[in-house]
Amino acid sequence: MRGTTLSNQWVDRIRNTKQLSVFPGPGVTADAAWSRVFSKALSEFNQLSQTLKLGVTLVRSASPPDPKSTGGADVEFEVGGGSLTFPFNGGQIPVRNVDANALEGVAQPVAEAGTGGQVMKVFIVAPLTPRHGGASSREVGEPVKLCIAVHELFHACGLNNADHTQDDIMAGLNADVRKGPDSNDPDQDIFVAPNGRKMPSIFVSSQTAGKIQALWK
Amino acid sequence: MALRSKLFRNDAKLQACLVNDPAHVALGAVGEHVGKIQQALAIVDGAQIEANELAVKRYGPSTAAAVLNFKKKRDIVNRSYQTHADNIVGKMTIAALDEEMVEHEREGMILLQPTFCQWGKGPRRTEPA
Repeated sequence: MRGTTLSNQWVDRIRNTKQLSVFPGPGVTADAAWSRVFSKALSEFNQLSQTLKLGVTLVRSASPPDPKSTGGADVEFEVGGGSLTFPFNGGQIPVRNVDANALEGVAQPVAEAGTGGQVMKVFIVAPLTPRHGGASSREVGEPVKLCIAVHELFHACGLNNADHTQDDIMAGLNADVRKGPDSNDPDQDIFVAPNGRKMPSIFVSSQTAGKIQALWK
Repeated sequence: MALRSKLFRNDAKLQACLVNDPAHVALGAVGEHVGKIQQALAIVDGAQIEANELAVKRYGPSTAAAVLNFKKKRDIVNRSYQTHADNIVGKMTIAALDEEMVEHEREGMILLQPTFCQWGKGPRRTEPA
């Protein structure tokens, strides 16, 4: 259905623009930290895109995906917890539950019928208050939220579960999140890939970059 | 009789499942056909399947639970030999999934398999919160 890659290619009319518009959901704009992280994530992604020639850039959208048509932003990035749905194209898009306190994230791609599974929208949900180890532990700092956001934005570009890695920002299940030398300082928190690489700064392997390049050439 | 949805119609294993009892799909199965079943369950039933099963397209416990849930809700029971729904995708189940997929595809959009990521050393969720 999607050729030899398991990744999700965007519909041609969007892919040809080499650009995705990303709308920060109301949960993002209502939260000062996530609002900062969202802006920084777009900037970091675009910097990486330029350096690695990924072939796609992200722009902030002022309007969400259209509830009544296929228009509006290409991607919505929301934070929250529990069960969320997004009005789009006359229906409601359900997104898998995210625990507001957990270190997790979901990206729900929506394909256009008749295109062989090409993507026309992606809805991302990240946890509102991700914590180190459950509801009673300390909330992680913005460096880790940034890693979560950039990771999910890479998913929005077309990478799926099979594209998770062990060595870069696309580490998906076995990456660790640790406190820094001052364990009380959230700004020292780090994201550690299974191979030991610490982020930020965000690292993108040549393998991950190659997949994005292939999706956006 | 053949599967009609775009998701299923070109899949030989699922076409076989529709007409051949031994071709049913059950716990332990792995492959593209399992991935399509997982995708359909997410689309038509909002099923939430464990990330590790989605990643390798494996019919594990959470996929089996989603199948059972789908069948219970629709009362898919072969009363010739059972009184309760089971967690196997056989003729009746694949036909029902296909029929609902056709309806969804008519609406102009298709939910693809979501990505799900978990980090850190916290407890791993396999069921919806």
